[in-house]
Amino acid sequence: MVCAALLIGAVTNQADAQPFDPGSNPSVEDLQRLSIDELANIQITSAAKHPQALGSVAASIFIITADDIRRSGAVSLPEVLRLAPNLEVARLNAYSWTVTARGFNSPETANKLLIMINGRSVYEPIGGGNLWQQIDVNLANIDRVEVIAGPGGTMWGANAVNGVVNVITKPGAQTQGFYADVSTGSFQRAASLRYGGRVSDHIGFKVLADSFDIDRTKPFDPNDTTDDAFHGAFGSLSLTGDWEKDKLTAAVMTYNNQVAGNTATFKGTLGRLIWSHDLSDGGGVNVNAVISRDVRDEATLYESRDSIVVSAQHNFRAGPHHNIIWGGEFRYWWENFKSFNDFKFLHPKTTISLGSLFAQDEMALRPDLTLTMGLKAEYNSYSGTEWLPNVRLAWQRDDGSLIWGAVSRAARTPNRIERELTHPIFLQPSPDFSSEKVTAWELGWRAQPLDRLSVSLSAFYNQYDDLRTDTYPATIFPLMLENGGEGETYGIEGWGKYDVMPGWRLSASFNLLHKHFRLKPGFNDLTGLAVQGQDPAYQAQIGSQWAISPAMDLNIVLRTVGEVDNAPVPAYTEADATMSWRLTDRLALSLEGLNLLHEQHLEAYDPSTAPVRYVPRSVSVRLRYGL
Amino acid sequence: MPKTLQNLFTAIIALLLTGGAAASQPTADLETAVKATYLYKFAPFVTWPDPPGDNLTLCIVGADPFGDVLDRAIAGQGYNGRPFRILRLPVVSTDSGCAVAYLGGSGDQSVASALKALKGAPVLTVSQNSQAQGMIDFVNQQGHVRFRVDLAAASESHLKISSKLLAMAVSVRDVSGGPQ
Repeated sequence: MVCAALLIGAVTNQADAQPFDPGSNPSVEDLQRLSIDELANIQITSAAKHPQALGSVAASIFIITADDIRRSGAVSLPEVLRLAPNLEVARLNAYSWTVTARGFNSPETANKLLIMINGRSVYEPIGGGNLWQQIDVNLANIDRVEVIAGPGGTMWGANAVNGVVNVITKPGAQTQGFYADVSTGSFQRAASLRYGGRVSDHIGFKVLADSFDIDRTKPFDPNDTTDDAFHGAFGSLSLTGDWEKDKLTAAVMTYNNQVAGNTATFKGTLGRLIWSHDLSDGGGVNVNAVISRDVRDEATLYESRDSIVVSAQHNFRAGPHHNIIWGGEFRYWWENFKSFNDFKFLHPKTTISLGSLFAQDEMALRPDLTLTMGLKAEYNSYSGTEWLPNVRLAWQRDDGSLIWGAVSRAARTPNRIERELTHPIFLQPSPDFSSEKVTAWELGWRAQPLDRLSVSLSAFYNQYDDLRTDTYPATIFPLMLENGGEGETYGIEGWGKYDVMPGWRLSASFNLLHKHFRLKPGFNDLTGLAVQGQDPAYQAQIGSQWAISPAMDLNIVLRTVGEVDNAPVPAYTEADATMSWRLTDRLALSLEGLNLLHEQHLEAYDPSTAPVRYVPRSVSVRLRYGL
Repeated sequence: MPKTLQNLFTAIIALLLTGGAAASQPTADLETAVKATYLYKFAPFVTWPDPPGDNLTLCIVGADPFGDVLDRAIAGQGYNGRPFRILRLPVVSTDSGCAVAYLGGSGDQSVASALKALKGAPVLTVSQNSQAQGMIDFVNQQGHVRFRVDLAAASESHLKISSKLLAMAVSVRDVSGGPQ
C-alpha cells in the first residue's frame, strides 16, 4: 500500500512483498500456510518495484508475518513485537511499554527506535520515543512487521538510531468481505470488525473498527492504589484505487484511548493519501501525504500535536549496475504543551519544521557483490542539520547464503523536554543540548544450509557519543542537560527456523548485549549514566508452530529474558501457547494463553515514570469469523 | 576493539566458513509455486454440483509447468478431510474424473479443444497465457499472481464460485456476457 518497506536500500518499496524471512524465497511448503488472500499478495518479481529482493537485504531484518500474529494470541502491537529476536520488549503496566533494539530500554531512554506504520513515523518528537498509548494498530489488518535492528537513518531519518519497526497493513484488495475477531479473557479483551468491498472493478474500500479493554495490573508496592486499567477504540476507513500501474489510497482513522477513571486520555485523528506509480523502466514513484492531530490529556500535562507530512521517493535503474533511490520529506508540526506542575516550558506553544533529502545507490560490483552507499541530510528547525550516511556490502554466495556488512551513522535529535523544560529549583533549560550520535559497525550472515532450515546471525559494534547527562553544578541544583556521555555496545542476534515437516515449524532465537558507558572528561551526571538504559544481557526464545490437522493449530513460544542491569528486575522465563480450531471454513475458535508459567512477573522498574507493576498471566478465548 | 569483541568476530567468521559448506537445494521458481498453491486453494471457494465423494482430483492436462512443485504443494493438504489427488493427462474428457483441470495445452489437445471437451462438465478449468481462457485464468499484475474469473462458463458447468473469490478477481466475466 505504501512505501513502508523501503529499507536500508533493499526491500521492495511497496507494501506487498513476501511475508517471509528474507533469508530465502518462500518454498512451496511455506505457501501452504497462507490464506488465499495472502497468496494473492505474494510478490513474485521484485523487478517492478525495487531491484533487490528481500533475500539480499544487508541488515539484521526479522519479519513477523500475519500468520505469526494470528497464532500469537497478541492483543496489542508490543505483544506482537515480542516475537522479534532483535528487539527488547518490556511491559510497564496495562497501558505502557518500553521497546528498543540493541540496548537503551527504560521509559526515559527508549528513544532510539523508530516505529513506522505504513511508512508514517509515530515517533513522538516532543518527549522523544514511542508513546504506546497513542499507537493504535488493528492486528488482524497487519500484513507483516519488518523489524530491522541497527541504524536506518539514511532511509528513515533521525531517531532510527538502533532500529526501525515497519508495520505494513494489508492492501484493501486482500481484505475483501467481512471479518470479525472477538476475544475475552482474564486480563484483556478485544473486538475487531472489518469489512472490505468493491465500488467498481478498480476501486475498493475497507472499514475497520476495534476496541480493547485491559485490566488493572497488580502493583509492586502494596500501598499503590492507582488504577492503570486501559481501554480504547479505533476506527478507520480507506479507499484504494488499483490500476495497472497506479495505486491510490485515501484513508482516515481515529482513536480514543483512556486509562481508568479518565486519569489520562489519548485521542487522535489522521487523514492520508498515498500514490504509487510503476514506471516502465522497472522503477517507481511514491508520494505520501499525512495530516494528523494527537491530543494527550493527563493529570500532570496536556499536549496537542498537529502535523503535516509530505514525502516522495523515486527509484530507478541507471545502467546495468546501478539502482538509485532518492527522495525527500517535509514535516511541519504545531505543538502545545501545558504542564500542571512546576516543570514547565517558558513557551508552551511552538512550531517545528523538518526537511530532508536522501539518495542511495546500489551498485552491482560483481553479479554476486552489491555495494550500497547512501546519505541523508535532514534539517530540523529545532536542532539543525544531521548528516546520516551508510555503506553496506552484500555478498551473495553460490550456495545461496548471504554475507553482509555495514557501517552507518545515525542521530537521535534533541526534544523539547530536554531543551526547554525548566523548574524554579531543580532544572534550568538546556538550549545547547544537541543530538546523541552513533557510529555502527555490523556484520551478518544469512543462509539456508538445508532445504528446510534457514538461519541468520548478525553482530554489531556501536560507538555512541554525546549521550545525555544531567549535569549538576557545585550547588547540586539546578540541573542542566548536557551531552556528556559516551560508550560502546556490542552484541549478536541470531535466529533459525526449521520445517520439521509440512505444517510443523520449529524456531529458535537469541540475542546478547554488552554495554560500556562512561562520562566524557569534564562532565558529571547526577543520574549515574541512566542514559544507558536498563537491559537484559541476553534473551532467547524457542517456538513451535504445528498444524496438528487441517483444522487444528498449536502454537507454543517459550522465552527467557536475562536479569536487567541498572534496575532490580530479575531474569524471567515465560511461555505463550495458542490452540486454535477451525470450526468451519469461515469460523475459528482459539484458546490463548500469554505469560502462562507464573501468576505474575516483573519486566521493568522505573518508579520515577510510573508506578511499578507486575505483568500477569493472561488466558483468553477468541472467535474469528472470515479468516 | 575490546578483546571479547574480537573473539566474537572470530567466532562469526569461523561460523561463516563452516556454515556455507552445507549444500542447499535450489528453490522452485516462486511464480510456479504460487500458481501450484492456488490450484488446490481454489477448492474451498468452489461448489461442485455433485460434491467430489472421493479425493478431489487436480488434473494437469498437456504441458505441465509445475512438475514436482505441485506434488510438494499438496503434501499434507486436504479437501473435506481427504488428500488431493494429481492426475497428469495428455488429453482430457468429461470422463477423466477431474474436479480442477489446469489446461497446459499440447499438440494432442490445445487449450481451446480441452475447453470444448469439458464444456458444461463440472470441472473448474484453469489456464494462463492462452488465447482460450478457462474459468480461472492466471494473470500477473504488478508483480503478483492474480486471476480472472469467467463466471458465465462456471455457471454453464453448474459450478458456484464464492463471492470471496469473485471479489479477489482482477475481472469477472459475468453471466450476462460482457466483463463486469
